[in-house]
Amino acid sequence: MASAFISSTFCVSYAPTDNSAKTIVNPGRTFKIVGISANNETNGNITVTVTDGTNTIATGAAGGNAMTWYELDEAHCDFTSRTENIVVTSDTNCKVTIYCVGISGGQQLTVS
Amino acid sequence: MATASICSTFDILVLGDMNAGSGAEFYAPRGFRLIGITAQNTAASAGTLTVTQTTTTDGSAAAGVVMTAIAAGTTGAAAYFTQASAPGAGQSLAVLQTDAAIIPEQTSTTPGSGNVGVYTKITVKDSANQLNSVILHCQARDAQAITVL
Repeated sequence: MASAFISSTFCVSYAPTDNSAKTIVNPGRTFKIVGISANNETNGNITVTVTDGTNTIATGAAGGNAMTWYELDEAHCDFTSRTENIVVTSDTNCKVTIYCVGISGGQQLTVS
Repeated sequence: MATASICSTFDILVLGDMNAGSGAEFYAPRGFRLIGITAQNTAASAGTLTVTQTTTTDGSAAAGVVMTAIAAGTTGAAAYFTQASAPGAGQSLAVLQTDAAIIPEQTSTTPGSGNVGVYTKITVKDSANQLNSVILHCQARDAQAITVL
């Protein structure tokens, strides 16, 4: 059965300075990731990976001089613990933005 | 050192004629940081989108700062949605020149005789006249920093 939700949004922005995996400490929220973009300002491809510390949420090449929008593994997009961190791998000049809504999508709407 | 921040977001939606003259122009209602641009392309061919910010403090003309992508291997104001291939009809993303994507706090929302303040004019130009919407995805200029390990 289809479902729909409405929610306020916020984003987590990550500005990398190298290509090592970095842990972004949860600021104390539960949430659901609904989008991940990578803004690659270099000419070369950069591989971006986002995980919850264990499971991959999104991964793939961020094309040169392009904004890439990633396919998400929906099974791991819900951060149900306020201490669950996001781990991001990117590289210099490839900023990653993680778009979030309330946990489980927010307030449920009626679908008919 | 790598940094991360968290912030609420809002969108500025631009509709209608973004091709005539200089394009669609409006004054920033607040200071913000631009984090993404999506555009609905109605044609199965590459379009050209230019988003420019012009900030002045005394009403005088200032050089526009281009916030959109540059094509691969080139510099300039022309912007393409992607470089790999011409995009088909549908949603497209524009890469940002992020250093230029920060709109300063506005102390005056519109210029006028006697008005002194900081205001920014944003211009959205659809040179190929094939977009039917452009969305500027925004967050606060100074988001809350969060720890990166």
